[in-house]
Amino acid sequence: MARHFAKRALWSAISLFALVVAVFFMSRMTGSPADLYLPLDAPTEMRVQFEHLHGFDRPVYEQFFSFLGDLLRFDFGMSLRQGLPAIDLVLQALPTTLLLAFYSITIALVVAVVTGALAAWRPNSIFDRIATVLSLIGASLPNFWVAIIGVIVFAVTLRWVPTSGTGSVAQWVLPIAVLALRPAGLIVQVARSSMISVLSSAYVKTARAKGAPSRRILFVHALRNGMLPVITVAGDQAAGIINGAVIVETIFGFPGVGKLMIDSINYRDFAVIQAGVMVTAIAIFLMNVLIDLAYLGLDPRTREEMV
Amino acid sequence: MKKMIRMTGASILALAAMWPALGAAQDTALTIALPAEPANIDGCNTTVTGIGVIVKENIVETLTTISPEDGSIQPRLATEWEDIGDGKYRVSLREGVTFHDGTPFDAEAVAFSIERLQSQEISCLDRTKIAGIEITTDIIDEHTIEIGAAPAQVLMPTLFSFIGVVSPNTPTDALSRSPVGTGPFAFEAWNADGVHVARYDGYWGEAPQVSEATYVFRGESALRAAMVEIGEADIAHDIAPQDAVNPDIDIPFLNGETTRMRIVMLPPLDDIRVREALNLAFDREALLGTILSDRAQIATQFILPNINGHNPDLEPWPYDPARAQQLLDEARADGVPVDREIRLVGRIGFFPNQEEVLQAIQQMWAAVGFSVRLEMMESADWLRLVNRPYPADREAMLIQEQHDNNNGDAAFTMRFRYHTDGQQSEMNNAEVDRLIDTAEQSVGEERTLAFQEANRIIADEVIPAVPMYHMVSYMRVGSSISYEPNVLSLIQLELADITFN
Repeated sequence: MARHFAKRALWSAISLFALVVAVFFMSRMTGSPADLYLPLDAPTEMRVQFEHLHGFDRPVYEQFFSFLGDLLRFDFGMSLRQGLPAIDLVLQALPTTLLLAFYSITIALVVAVVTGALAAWRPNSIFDRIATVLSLIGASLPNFWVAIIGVIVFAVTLRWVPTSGTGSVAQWVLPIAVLALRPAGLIVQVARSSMISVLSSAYVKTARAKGAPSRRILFVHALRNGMLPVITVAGDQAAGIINGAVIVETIFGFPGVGKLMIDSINYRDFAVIQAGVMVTAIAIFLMNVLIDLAYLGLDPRTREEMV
Repeated sequence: MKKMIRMTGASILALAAMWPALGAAQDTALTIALPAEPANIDGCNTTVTGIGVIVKENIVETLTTISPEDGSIQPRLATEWEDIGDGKYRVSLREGVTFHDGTPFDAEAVAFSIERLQSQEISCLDRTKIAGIEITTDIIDEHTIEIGAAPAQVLMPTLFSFIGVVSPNTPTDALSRSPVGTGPFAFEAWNADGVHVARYDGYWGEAPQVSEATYVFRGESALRAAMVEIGEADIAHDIAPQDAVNPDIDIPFLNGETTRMRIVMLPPLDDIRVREALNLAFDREALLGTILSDRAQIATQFILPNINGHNPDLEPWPYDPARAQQLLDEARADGVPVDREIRLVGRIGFFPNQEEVLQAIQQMWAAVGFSVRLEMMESADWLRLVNRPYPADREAMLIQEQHDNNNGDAAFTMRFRYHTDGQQSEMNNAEVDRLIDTAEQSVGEERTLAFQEANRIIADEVIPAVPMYHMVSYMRVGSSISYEPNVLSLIQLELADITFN
């Protein structure tokens, strides 16, 4: 098993390296930060001075090798925008995003698994149909739209929660709800279909024949096997929540990695983009390890495959 | 039980007693919602939109300021100035002024700020405004300083309005995120909630009504507007026309920006009849009140009417598609390749509904026989097209541009855009060059007339552009306060101008 994780770590390190190289060159292909940082009518002399000051006038390969050298010391360089070490900015913003992602995916998972399992208990019942339609809507609505509508309905019309910002618990409600909606919708679909197939399997029929109570059959016998595809999709969604966080954090003014990345991309703050991509990639790698471990716990068959 | 009632009664009374005090404290604290978080709020970046709106004349004051009404120069930290020849001005500084860190404001501080502004160690964006000019200082006494410019500048008092004076304790090797100036508000903190400032008790001028302000950053216009609607914020800056639905609190104002399409005068656009046809076939009235605010003004030139050198005698282009078609036919008969496809290049993000505006104009041109292809670009790509040196294989095209001259004088527009050696000029007209050269070296009426004549020749005889509109922005101002936006409000929003109803 240790070998399995070592192999996985090696592959991840290779893809991380490829990612870093790609991000380095692709971000620089967008042009010079001087274009965005200086006013449109800045004279050429100022652009030249700006590029020299920040080392963008050096050949790209030279910039790349000094970047690699620094990277070995986990030094991503200074943020162009804020004049602070890029990695510090990312690590400062990371807990907010991780918490946001954690709450969203946990809420999505609990709500969706219960809903999906209940829907699967009696396929085509009224409950199942409502759950299916609502989950389809949830999975298909774009985040930015839900966010704005959420503000109009819950903050402006009903005045239940603040529109945006951080500081109070109430300010987390809308962002979490918006972020949870899409994964919840998808997981309901997956949980429902997976549970339907598990519920029709022989061992569930045996349990029924034995006279086990329905609740026990559904949430103990069936759910354990039904969870495997759910974990895969939930893991995927948890990794993808960073995409949603970009939009949600920007709209709600949340100081997380998503907002930091967008601001950095808008200003071509290369150092922060690179640090952000690296840290996010490592987080996703760790999440994949966690998913593997969850599989191990849930399905003994995977243990043999991994050994 | 009795005791409980008594206690409850007492707490209600206590709360009631505290209420007015609480109310007063809350009433004079403001929250202002801005569209984007700036990179820094340094006192040498006061002319940059997202920075100046927080810093300029609130935290950091300049030597002079420009009046938003008539563009005239008003004293601020400089009380008097006198041209003593040789490019030098003798400037008297206000007395009894201190920085927020307690340092006295004096000639040393001005010299320090000017040196820092020109430093090669940091990229002060206000340097854009003094590009190609070297500014030197000579301290005469504590409150008198001689400021010289090489080459000599006729508009020296205007240049003083770009010089933000910061405390001599400001770092010289990095842009500041915690500026220290002499303004009515002192910087307090910049954290995840936003930028906080508080009234400075040692301010030399009249104490403002606002006691403290928080600037929060929300990219979504609808959300900024909602924040004011429910009282989370007092001012929502720059909201989109579709969110400005309540005329009582949504105030439109000319924002100082002018849009146009620059014409790259290569075949077929090298023929003046074709350029006239472009202007005649564009129904400028049709877009007002439909996809653009009805308060936008049709522009005849690239500067606003309050700018010295604006020519008031120029008439907007009439909408005359028949004449446009006739001109095109004439040109075609003379062998001008008028059927060739022309690129119309827009830059993303100038103003709301921009692409719709360009599509509408594209259709109007198609109706008279032009073939125009619309391309929207990111600013980096767009910049490669607008700045010299131009690529050698350039073709005829139209480039959408937006320009804000908020500095009171046409000089900040004319050479750059119209002189043969202007960085973004398409022109090569000896008479316009001569007029710009003359105007730049003159003062008073001679200056005004020379710029006005240059603008007439440009609009009537050269036609290097399709003038469009002087643009408006909307500001949502909460009903508990009064604030009248002006042409400078996008880059300079003085908290001291805000009063409570």
